[in-house]
Amino acid sequence: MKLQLLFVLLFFSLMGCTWYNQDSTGSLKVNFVHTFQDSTLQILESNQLIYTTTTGNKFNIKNLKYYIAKLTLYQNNGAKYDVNMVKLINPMELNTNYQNYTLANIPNGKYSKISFVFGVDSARNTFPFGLPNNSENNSMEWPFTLGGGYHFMMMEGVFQNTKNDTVGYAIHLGVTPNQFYNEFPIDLTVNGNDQSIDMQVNMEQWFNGINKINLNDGFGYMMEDQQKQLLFKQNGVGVFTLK
Amino acid sequence: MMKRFAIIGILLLTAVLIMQACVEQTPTPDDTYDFQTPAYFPKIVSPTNNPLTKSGVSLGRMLFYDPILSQDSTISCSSCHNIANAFAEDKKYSVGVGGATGDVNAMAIINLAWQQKFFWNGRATSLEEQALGPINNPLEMHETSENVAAKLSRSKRYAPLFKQAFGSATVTPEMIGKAISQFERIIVSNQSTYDKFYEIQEQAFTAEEYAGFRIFFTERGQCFHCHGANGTLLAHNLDTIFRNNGLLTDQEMIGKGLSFVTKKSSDDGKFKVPTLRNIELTGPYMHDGRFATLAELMDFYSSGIKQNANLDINFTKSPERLEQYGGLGLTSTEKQQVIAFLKTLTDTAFTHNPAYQNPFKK
Repeated sequence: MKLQLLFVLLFFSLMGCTWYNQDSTGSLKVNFVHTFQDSTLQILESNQLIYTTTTGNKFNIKNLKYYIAKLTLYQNNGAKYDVNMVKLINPMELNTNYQNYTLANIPNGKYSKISFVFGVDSARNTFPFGLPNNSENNSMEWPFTLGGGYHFMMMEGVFQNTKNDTVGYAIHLGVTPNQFYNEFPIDLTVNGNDQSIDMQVNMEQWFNGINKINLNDGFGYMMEDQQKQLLFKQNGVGVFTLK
Repeated sequence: MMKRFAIIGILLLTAVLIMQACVEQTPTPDDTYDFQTPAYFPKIVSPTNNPLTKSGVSLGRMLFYDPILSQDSTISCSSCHNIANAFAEDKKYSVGVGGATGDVNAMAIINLAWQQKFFWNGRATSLEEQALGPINNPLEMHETSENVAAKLSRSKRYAPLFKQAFGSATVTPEMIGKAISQFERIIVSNQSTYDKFYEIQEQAFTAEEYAGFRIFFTERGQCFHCHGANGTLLAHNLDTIFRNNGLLTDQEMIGKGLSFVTKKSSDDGKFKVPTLRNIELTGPYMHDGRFATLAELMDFYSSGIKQNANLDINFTKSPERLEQYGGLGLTSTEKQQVIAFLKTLTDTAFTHNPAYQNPFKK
């Protein structure tokens, strides 16, 4: 009987640790929800042209991957919380872990702002292996010859050019100056619970933002063309919206 | 009451141990194979049910070089994967049992530990599965893995070696696949001139090699988009990708390549991007061995691309270049420079590594 009592005490003392943590921290999963003109984004394997830019390009998206870095929550008193992580978002993956960024162990409290960096933060955008040396990060590398680091975004597909041929485009952003910062007001109370929010990623904005992109203007070779990358960086500011 | 708890506990523990034994195979400490790779290589993920062991690797090496795997004991893995050719073959197509000829070029066996799909069309999803493929292929060893297992079980040489490596002298096809794949997994190239790039960057190269390196790793050549930026894919080929590089017309590519597995027409003509390590030694090139030399290979990328519905975006994104040149439009000097760079991937320490040699040759 004494032994059983000891087990019971041990069980509750162990559970107590867990309960304490659950009480003092929570988590927030930010789901990146990709849309095009308010419909769910379709990433195609075929050459079917299902989207149109305001400049009249019929096009599709066949490949999309990008990095989000340093997702951070802020309290009104200036306190902030982040996990100093860089996350590859890959909507083509069936595994939904590639479509969200989760902050765990957030101290309880009220948070009024959320921010993140689009791309890889400069401290980790380095050669070689600023990010963990694994298959997914290595597939995003930006060549040493072009400055090193990582592609912040790869978006590829095909479009109909002025000769009515279906040809490729490749929006590749990289190099530290092309990161950009996003912040949104948020009304979030963390109280030991797990929560999730949706971040809408309006893909149309990449093409139809401040800069109206015409894919006939040579968006196949832009890794060495800062002016072309800048057009997308400027458009990117309006891509993300907190729902 | 306590007795009942104790019995339940023992039963649960036994069940857990049995399940563990089914799922994982843990080598004894002194049999663990010490697999060392450079710091700039990613960690490999070995299957938990086939950890590298000294006895497994040694057995796999013997099987790799032994024609006992074939129907008439004439063909071994090494017949088509010759170490002098970096475990590729200098023939367009391999010749199997009875003179049968295949229809694809033998792929090099280099750094497979970092790869996840095998064969030009990706039909094997593990190295263990790949290892059994040639045995059962009527154009290659023309055997069945069950027959080979029976032969090996009867063998005085092999039965005790399987017992040592896998705990049973009754050989199964699964054990054969595991042993061969263990040997293939330790075949690593990491001592080429190119590897010095990670220590001393551009100083690793001559001026001509560096010029080729720059073409390879910029949008002039585009090579890195499929073969890997900074050379990590190039070096390790860790992310298995399939691409349509314009070898075939729309009509020619139907059912060929990845589409053989996926049955999707959008995968027609997409073949596995091979490692470029030791490319100087692994010709002829492409899935059908159509190019005998690196010069022919460069001519193809420069001016021989066939347009088709699945042609990779890295070619179609410059329609002007494709229309004008039929490819990248490299000058003869640029082609020579890229070839000079590709030759920096030659690793003679690899081809002379005693651990990879035929164990039956004295």
